[in-house]
Amino acid sequence: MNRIKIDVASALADRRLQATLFPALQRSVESRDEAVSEVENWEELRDYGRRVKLHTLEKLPFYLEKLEKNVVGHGGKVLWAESGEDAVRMILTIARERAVRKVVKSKTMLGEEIHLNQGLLKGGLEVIETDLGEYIVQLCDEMPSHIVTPALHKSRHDVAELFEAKLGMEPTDDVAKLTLTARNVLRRHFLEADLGISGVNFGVAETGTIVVVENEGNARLSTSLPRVHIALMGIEKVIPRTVDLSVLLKLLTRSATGQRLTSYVNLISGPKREGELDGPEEFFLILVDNGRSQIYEDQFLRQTLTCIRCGACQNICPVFQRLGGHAYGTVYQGPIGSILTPQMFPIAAVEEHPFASSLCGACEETCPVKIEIPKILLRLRQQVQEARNHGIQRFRPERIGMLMWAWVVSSSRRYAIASRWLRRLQSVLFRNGRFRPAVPPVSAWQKDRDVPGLAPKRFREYRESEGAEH
Amino acid sequence: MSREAILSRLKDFQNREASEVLPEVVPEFPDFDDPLNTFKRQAEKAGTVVLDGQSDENFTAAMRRVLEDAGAVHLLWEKAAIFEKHKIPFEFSNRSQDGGESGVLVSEHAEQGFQLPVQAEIRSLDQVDVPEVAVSVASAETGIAETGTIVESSAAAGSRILSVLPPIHVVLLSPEDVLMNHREFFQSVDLGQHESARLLVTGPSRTADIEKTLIIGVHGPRKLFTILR
Repeated sequence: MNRIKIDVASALADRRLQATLFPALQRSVESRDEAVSEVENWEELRDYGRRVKLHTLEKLPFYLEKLEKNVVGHGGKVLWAESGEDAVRMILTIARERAVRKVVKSKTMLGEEIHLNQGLLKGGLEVIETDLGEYIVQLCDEMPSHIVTPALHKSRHDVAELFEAKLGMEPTDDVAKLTLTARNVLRRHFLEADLGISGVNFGVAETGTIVVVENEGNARLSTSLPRVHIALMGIEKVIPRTVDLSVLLKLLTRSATGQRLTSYVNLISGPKREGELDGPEEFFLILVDNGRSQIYEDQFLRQTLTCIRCGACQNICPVFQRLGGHAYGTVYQGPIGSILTPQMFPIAAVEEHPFASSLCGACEETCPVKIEIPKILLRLRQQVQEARNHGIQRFRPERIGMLMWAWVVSSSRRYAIASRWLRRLQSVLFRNGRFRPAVPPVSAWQKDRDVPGLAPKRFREYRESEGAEH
Repeated sequence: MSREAILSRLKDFQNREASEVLPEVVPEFPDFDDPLNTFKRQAEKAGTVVLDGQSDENFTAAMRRVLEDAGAVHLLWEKAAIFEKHKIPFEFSNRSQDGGESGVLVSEHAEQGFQLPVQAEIRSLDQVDVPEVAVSVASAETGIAETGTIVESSAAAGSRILSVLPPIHVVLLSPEDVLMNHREFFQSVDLGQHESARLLVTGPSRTADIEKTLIIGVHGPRKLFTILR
């Protein structure tokens, strides 16, 4: 088994990344905050969204069968895939039977998860990503570095160099020109493609409708121009009713991009109907499990599956803000990635990921469906540790230290006494505000951490003396 | 079969009794004293150009404004029903030609030369080079004031790509079709009953994929007009 390590050092040393990443994420956070602040009952909407998604999960088989029935009722076909390989094989079979040569894809994270592009290429198909960010990432043969903005790690200079090398474009720093070039190149592909593949944001069980949210118009084109449309959907994306969309779309778009609504929301119910002039002749919905039912097993961890892939937790995460997506080495990155990946794959392969968090809680606070990410991280950390210990409780110095710490801080009296003593010892233990005795095993811990000294006075003492004047 | 395997696994893990019931009451959505005005304001915020075309005179002026922008000679109208619904006087210039149900309506105009009645011709879709048609004109099923959104249905328009392929898209919206908010819309809409695709449109096509810089007009139109009619 390949163990995936988080590459902190390279990410921090990458100057271009560091210059691009933080300002971009900061902008996302600001627009999200602005869009959310104008909604008076945001908390109520979050509760509703969470409840709907949790309810759907509890009755998941029921809603999946209902969705299937209604999609079939519209003349669509529904396939079920146990694994990523199964899904890829199904798509290849559909393509072969219909002599498909060119495939246009709109954004699908599930497609990334199951390495669809590689699979289709191996099967002899030409595959073109049509979302601008995905197209950039595909041209340089990389992975997306963010759920919503896949080419977030690329600066305009990077893109200009890429287009110069791959598309023979004149060098430019003008983002509008770069976009126009991509539009013109992709236009041709849209008109030539025989098969369009899209993801699914929500599958409405009661009507058999799939919802695809986008801004560029590429999803509309990918799902309308080619004669076959295949929609890839994780089994957790089903929702019960049309009316639930009113809340879920509001939560999704405001959290993802800070838009009141994205430019386009596609509500697709099967293939072209009689009397319609265009649209695909055939529509397939592939329901993919690929490890999801495994997550489903644990009733607490199950809430991981309520994620609507808005990327807000990535934008706000202080760790992600410094590392970017690629450092994680996985398809899903940042806070949501750190809880999703270890549950979908053998945990030992990504055992670092649950630890790549300061547990500050910003992710849970921003999450539109209130996933308790920090608590889940702790549970997964516990699982990793148990696996390391092979189920045996060992006495480690760290464990003894932690037990003592827990004992001290669980009583305000003990805490006061301890801090008073520590403050007295400070002149011996600290020099220039840094913890001095660098002896093992403490030194290993100190290698990457600064230990600040204690303030000369306790906060309470400070308040009683000086704060009283105010 | 994978279907049975997945379903039976999920059923095994399912709780004996569901504890989380589906909430029955959808949270409040904002109401507006003047939904039409809110629609206009929100649509403009999203980058839509909203024009008044309620009188024939204003409608002609609005369409001239569109052609000014497009420098176009071709307008591609969705089905003939659009003229009836929005009471636009028009004449077929090729009444004899059998375009029938599978046809689209095309009219030609000199730059800024829009006038009523519209001289429209029926052509079948494959006779029209859609990507080269500068302007498509469709009818909105509904407008949603809350976000300045218009809703297009493939049943009414007969086409999905009409709204995205041309560089300029015009939508005719009857003021009485403007709904207050998304709750009202999703409570009343019957998805998939008559159409294979509905599209919610809020402003022109856009991207911010490079350095989060906003660019208008990617794969879809660079300009979206909504004419109140």
